[in-house]
Amino acid sequence: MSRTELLNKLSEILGEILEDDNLRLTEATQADQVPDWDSTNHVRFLVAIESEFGIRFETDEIGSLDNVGQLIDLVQKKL
Amino acid sequence: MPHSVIELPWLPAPPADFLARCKVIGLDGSTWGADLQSLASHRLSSRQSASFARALARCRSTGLDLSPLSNFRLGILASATFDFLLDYFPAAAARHGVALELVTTPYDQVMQQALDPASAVNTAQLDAVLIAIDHRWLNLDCASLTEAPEQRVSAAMQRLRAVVDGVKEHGRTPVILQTLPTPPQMLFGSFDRRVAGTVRSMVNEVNRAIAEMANETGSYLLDTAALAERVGTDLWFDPVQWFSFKLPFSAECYGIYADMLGRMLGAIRGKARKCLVLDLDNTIWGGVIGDDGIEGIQIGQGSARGEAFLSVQRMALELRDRGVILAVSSKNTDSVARGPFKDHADMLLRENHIAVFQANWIDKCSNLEAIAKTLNIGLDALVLLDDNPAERAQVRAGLPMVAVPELPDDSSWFAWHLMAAGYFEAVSYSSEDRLRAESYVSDAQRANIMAKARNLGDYLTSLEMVIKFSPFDVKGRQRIAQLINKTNQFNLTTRRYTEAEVAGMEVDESVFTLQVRLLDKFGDLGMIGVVICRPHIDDPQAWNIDTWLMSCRVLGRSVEQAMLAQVASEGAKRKVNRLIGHYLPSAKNAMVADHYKQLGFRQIGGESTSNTSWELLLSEYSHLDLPMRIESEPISLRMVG
Repeated sequence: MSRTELLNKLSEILGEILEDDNLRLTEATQADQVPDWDSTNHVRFLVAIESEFGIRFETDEIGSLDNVGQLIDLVQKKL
Repeated sequence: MPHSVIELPWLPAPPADFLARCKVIGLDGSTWGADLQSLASHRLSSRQSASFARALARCRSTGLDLSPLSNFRLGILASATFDFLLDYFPAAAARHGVALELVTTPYDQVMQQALDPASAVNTAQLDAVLIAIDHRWLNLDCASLTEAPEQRVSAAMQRLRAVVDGVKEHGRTPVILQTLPTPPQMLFGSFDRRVAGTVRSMVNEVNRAIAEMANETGSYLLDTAALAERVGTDLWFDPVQWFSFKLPFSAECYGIYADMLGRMLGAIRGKARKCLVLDLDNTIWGGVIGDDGIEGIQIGQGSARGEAFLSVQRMALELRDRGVILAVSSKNTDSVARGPFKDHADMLLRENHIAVFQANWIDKCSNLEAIAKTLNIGLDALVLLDDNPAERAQVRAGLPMVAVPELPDDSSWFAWHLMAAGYFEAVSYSSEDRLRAESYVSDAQRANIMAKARNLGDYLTSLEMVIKFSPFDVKGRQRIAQLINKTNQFNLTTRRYTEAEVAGMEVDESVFTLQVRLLDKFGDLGMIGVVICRPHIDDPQAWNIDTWLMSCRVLGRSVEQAMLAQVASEGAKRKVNRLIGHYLPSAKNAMVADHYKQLGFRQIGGESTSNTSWELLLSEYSHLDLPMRIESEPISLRMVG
C-alpha cells in the first residue's frame, strides 16, 4: 500500500472516530492540531489501525510517534 | 480461529450501509427502537458500535420513545481505562432488548465514588452499578510467598466489600460483580495450584468468595473469568495494551465482553429468549427425512455426523430441562416429519418434548408467528436454529425480532453456536423454571395458519438467484442419476433410471432432457432439478413429461415456473404445441399432487386420488416475470418434433 493510500485510509479511520467525514491528515499532522484527538481517541485510533491492518504495535513504537508521517512509516514497516 | 467467541460468529455481518443507516436514526420523531435492535444484531466493529451509540444518544436527547427496548441506567466503576470499552456497550445491550444509558466515572475512582454519598454513581438513580475491577486492583498480581496468603485474600475481599456496601448504602443500587480472570503466567508451573500463595491459588480463592458475596448481598455476577477462560488468557491479557494504555484486557475481547454484559441486562429486564424453534432436516438430524426415510437419516452414535446431530438434540433437551420451550418449524409433510420422533430409536427428542410442531410447506415466518401465538409469547422470545442460510435470511428480513444464529457448514459446531450466542441468559433459577417447558406442551398441537406471502417477491429478488439450464451431459450424468434415484418428494412420476440409461438419453435424439442448477447470493445449490420429455406416441407435436423432479431445498423460489418456461420455449422451437404432464402418486410425493394445476395445466384424465393427467397448450401459455436470471446452454435443435 502506497503512502498516499495509507494516508487516505488513516484519515478515514480517524475521521470515523472523530465523526468528521472531511478530516484530511497530512504527513506533518500532529495530534494536538486536530480537535478532539485526545488520549482516549488516540487509543481508539491505534487499536482500530491494529485491527484494520492485522498488525500489532510494540510498546516503544507507541511511545515514539510524533506525527502522522511516523505512523505511516510504522504501519508500512509492518505490512 | 474459525470458531472463537471474540468474533461473535453467530451474528450476521452488518449491512454495507450500516453507518449511513445509523446516521439517519433519531432524525425524525418516529419510533426507532425496533430498528436499533435489528441494527445492533450484527457483528459490529468498534467504530460501528460507537456510531450506533451516537444514534441511540441522539434518540435519547430528543426524548424519543425507544420501545420495544427497555431503559436501563448503568453506572460503571472501573479500575482501568474503560472509555473505549464503553463504545461497545449500547449496541450490545440493544441486541438484547435494552436501551442503555451509561453513567461513567473517572479512571480508578472506584473507592472514592462508592464511599461518597454525593458521588455521580450514588446520586444518579441507577438501575445497577457494574464494579469492573480485576486482580490488579485487589493486589493479587504477584505471589504472596513471604506473607500469609489468607491475609492477602481477606484484604482483597474487604476492599471489594467496602465498594459493594458503599454503593448499596448510599446509592441504594443493585450491584453487578464480576469474577477475576486468572493471569496466564505461572511461577512454579503446574505446582502453582498446590501453593496457597500463588496468584492462581489466590485468584481462585477470591473468585469463590466473590460468588458467595454475590449470593449474600443479592448482587448479580458477571462471570468474566469464564469468558477469559474460553477466549484464552494469553489472548485476554495484553501486556502492551495494559502498560501503554491501561486497557484492562485486550481490545479484541471488548465485543464479546460487552455482549455478555448485554445479555445480563436483557435477562434482568426479562428479555431473555424463552423458546427454541428447531428446523429438522440437516439441523437436528443429517439428511432429508422426506427423501432419505427414517433408515437413511443420520442421528445417533456410530458416525461422527450422527453424533454431532445428537449433541444438538442433547443441548435442546438440556435447555428444556431448565425451562426453555421447544418448538419445530420445518418444510416437510407433517406425518413424515414426525416419523423419527416416533419411530427412530436413536432420537433423543420425542414428540412430547415439542410444544408446537409446525411441519408444512408454508413460509417460515408464518410458522414462527403461529408458534408465538400458540404459546402466547412474543416473537422476540423466539430463537430459530436452521441450517439453511436462505431461510435464515428470510426470517431476519421478515421478522427481525426473532433471533437467528448464523451456523457454519459443519454440524459439529451447531450446539456451540447456539449456546455461545447467550440467548437464554438467566439471572435466577428455580424449580418452577424446570416445569415451565412441560406446561407448554399441549399434546404437540399443530396450530392452523393461513398461508401468507411476506413480501415474497422482494425476498426472492433479494436472493439474486441465477438458474442454469442445459441438456443432459457427461459432466452432470452422475448427479442426474442420483437425483432420479433418490428424489421421493418432489417427483411427479418417481421413474428411476440407471446411469447407463441416463447416458443413453444424452444421445437419444427423440428425448428432450433438462438439468437445472441454481445459485444464489449464499452460494451454489448445485443441480436441483431434472426434466425428461418424450414425444407423444399418437401426436408428434405433443410432449409427454416423462420425469419432472426437484430438490425440496428450492421450494417456494419460483424454480418450477422457470423450469416450465424453459420447457415451453424449447418445445416451441421444436414445433411442439402442447405439453402433457402426469402425476403418479407414491407413498412420498403427495406434495406435488397439484403441481400441474398450479402451473396452469388443465386436467384431462384421472381421479384426484389416482394417476392424473394434465395438458397445457403452448398457445395459451404466457411467460411470467421470474425473480432470477436465466442462463441457458444452447440445446441442439437436432431433435425431430
